[in-house]
Formats: sequence, structure tokens, C-alpha cells
Amino acid sequence: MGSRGVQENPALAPAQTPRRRGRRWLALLAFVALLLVVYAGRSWILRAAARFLDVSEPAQATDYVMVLGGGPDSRPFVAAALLDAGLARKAVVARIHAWGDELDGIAPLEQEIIRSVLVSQGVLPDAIVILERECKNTFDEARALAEFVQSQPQRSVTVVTSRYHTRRVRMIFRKTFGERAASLRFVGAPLDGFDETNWWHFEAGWRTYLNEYLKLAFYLVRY
Amino acid sequence: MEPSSKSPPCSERIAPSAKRRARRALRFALIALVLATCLYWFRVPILRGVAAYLVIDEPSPAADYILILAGADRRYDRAARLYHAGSASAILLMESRPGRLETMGFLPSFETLSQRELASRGVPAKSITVIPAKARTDWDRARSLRDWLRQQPDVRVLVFCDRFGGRKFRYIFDSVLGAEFAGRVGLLCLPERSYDENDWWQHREAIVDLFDAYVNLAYARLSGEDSEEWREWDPEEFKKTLR
Repeated sequence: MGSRGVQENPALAPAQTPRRRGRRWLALLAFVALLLVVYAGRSWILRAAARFLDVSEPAQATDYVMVLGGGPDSRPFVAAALLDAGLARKAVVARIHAWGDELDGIAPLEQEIIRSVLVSQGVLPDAIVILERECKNTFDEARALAEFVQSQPQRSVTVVTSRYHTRRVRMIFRKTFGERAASLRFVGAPLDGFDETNWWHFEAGWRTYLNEYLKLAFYLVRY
Repeated sequence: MEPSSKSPPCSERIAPSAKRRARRALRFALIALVLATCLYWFRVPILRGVAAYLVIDEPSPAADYILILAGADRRYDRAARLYHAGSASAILLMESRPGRLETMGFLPSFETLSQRELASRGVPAKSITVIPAKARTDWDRARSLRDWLRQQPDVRVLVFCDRFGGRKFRYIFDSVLGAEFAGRVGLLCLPERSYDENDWWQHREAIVDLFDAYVNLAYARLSGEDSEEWREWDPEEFKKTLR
């Protein structure tokens, strides 16, 4: 197509082709330079990508601490530590929708595991509230908590989830709670195996962070 | 000669170039439209193909052992059925490295749970073999299986894995077991109860599972094994930070 154009107007060829070729080389050079910069700074970029997702706040005293589903091996331990330190009076646990092995009775329900962990860490059974609404996702958990605190609007809640999950959780809870979101705090629990500084060395790290970005994008578009 | 005879006036110089650019843009737009239409028309076979690539079913007519891996849906039902039908003479389990919940006793270990579930389905304890492995990753599992196969000449194993995990397992088994042992190991990706490769895009959890399966496969192929030591955090240390 380009050569045909040159044939149609020979006066154009000597004037434009070298300039365009030069521009293309410059663009290619800039692209290669960009790739080199990205490669040289990959650790920084990957760390920043993980830290972007983590908006957890320092723990402060609130009335309740809510444990979100999806990480029973870490989140309830953090919630129990907050209760133990006197930073909350009661634990609120979401009723998680049962899947696969749980439906077949092979594995215990997640809220039961969370409850057992809390009790084993010294939380009194009376201080654990399991919410009524069955939750299939984070939005359901936000709605369940909103329903729970509806009759007690002065109460404050610390929401405990994994660090990488805090940005999406904060977004969802703020959307659900509206003006009442000021009474919420978001505390992040660490993960086993890896953290923001080395996640790209692990298959589970890639899965965790890429999956979270996928879900974040989905929530941004959908809600 | 007059200068105008050497180079055309400015307006004449710009016009063909703009026309050429417009023609090119139109051509691109047409190609994009045709591509988008094709993608839309053939979206179902394309989406099916995306998932089907991950599924590997190599049912072995006469497997000596069925190796059950965690994550496969209704794995105990299927294993017990094949065992009772005589399609496999024994069940193989692999010890997994216990997580915090197993160590603290909130959950049974994978092998204890599996033995309990198989027993409840009529599989006698003498027909269950546990490979002592303490495996954390699938690479560890493949190495343990290779060591076990080395001691069991001529034994054929059918591995049960989750629906979208087959392609990654096949790659890892081929890499670790080599030609000598890989041929003795077949894979069966057990179907999920709520979705399969024909409708996965209509289920949120299936989209996540498929995405995860491709991430796992890409990681296994591009990077291989985890390159740093897996360290668990200590809840007691966390408690101290709050005091």
C-alpha cells in the first residue's frame, strides 16, 4: 500500500520515507529501552503491584472484629489477637456458602473452622456472632455485616482479611455502607509462604495476586 | 525549469497521503469488524476449546492403583466406584505437608481424611497405600511418585486431579518422571458438579478456576518450581506486635 502511494506521487518518496523510517527506529529504540527499564526495575514494580492491593490500616479499638471467609488458616488468628489485645469486644463471622467437600460433609463448614480457631485462641464462645445471611462472595459479606449493624449504627467494626484483599474489600464495604463506612477499619492478615516482597517466586503468589487483580477489575466494571 | 514542475504544491502533497491513511484505517476497521464478528459467532467453540485444552482424560483400562490428589470433586466416590468395579486393584494416597490448621488439629490431614472417606465407601484399609512424602508442591508429589514407581516395576497408576489441572500435571509428570515412568501414569480430570468446559463462562467460580489453572500452567512451564523457601508466619509474633 505504501509503495503504491509512492508510485502515485514520486515527489513524495525522497521527502517522507527516510523521516518515517527514522521515526520507526526511534519508536523501536524507545520500546526496547522501556523493556530494559521494566526488566531492571522488575522487583520494584512487582512489589509495588502487591502493595497497591494492600490498604490495611493499623489496628485500633472498635466494637466488633469481623473475620471474612477465604483464609481460615490466618484471618481468625489475627482477629483473635485483636480481641486478646482488647481492641474489640466481639467477633463477627460470616456464614460462608458451602462448596464441594463441604456440601458432601467431607470437610467442615468454614465458619465452624473459624469459630474453632477463635475459641482455641481464647475467645469466649459467647463473644462470637455468626451472621444469618449466607455469603457467596465479598459483596454478600458486606451486606451481611450492614444488616447486622443496622440496628446499632454507632458501633464500629474492624474487618479482618488477607492483606492483598484489603483494597477490594474496602471498595466493596464502602460502597455497601455508604456514609456509615467511616465506622469501618480494615486490618490485613499475612499469608503463609510469601508476602509483598517475594510473591513472584511462588506459583501460589502469582495465582493470588493475578487472581486478585482479575477480581478487582471485575468488581470495578460490574459494580 | 520552474520550481513548481519539480515539486507539487503543498495541498496536492497532503491529499494523497491523507487519502492513503483513510483507506488504511478503513481496511483495519473492516478487518477488526470481521474478526470481532467471527469471535462472536464462534464464541462457544472458542470458549470450550480454551477450557478443553486444560482437560486431560487418559482412562487406563487396567490401572493397578488410583492416586487421589486433593481438589478433585467427588474423588472418593469415583475412586471407590472404580475399585469396586475391579478397574483398579488399590488406592494410592500421598502424604502432604500439613498446614497450620492440620498441625493444630482443626482439620485432619489429607491422608487421614482420605482413608476415613474411602473406608466409609467400603474400600478396605489393606487396599490403601500411603506414600510418605510430606509433599507441598506438585513437583514434590511427582518426585515422590517417581521414587515409588521405581520400587514397583510394571505398576500402572491412574491419577485423579481437578478438572482444569490436567495439563499442568501432565507437564510436571512428564518433566519429573521422564520417559521411563511417565508412560505408566495416566491422568483423569474429574468433572466438577457445578460446571464443565461446556459452560464454564457462565459460572463465576469456574472463571476463577480456569484463570488459576492457566496461571499455574504458565508458571510451571516458564518458571518451574518455586525459587524461594516457603515460610509460615507465626500468629504469636503477630500478637506481640499488638502489645
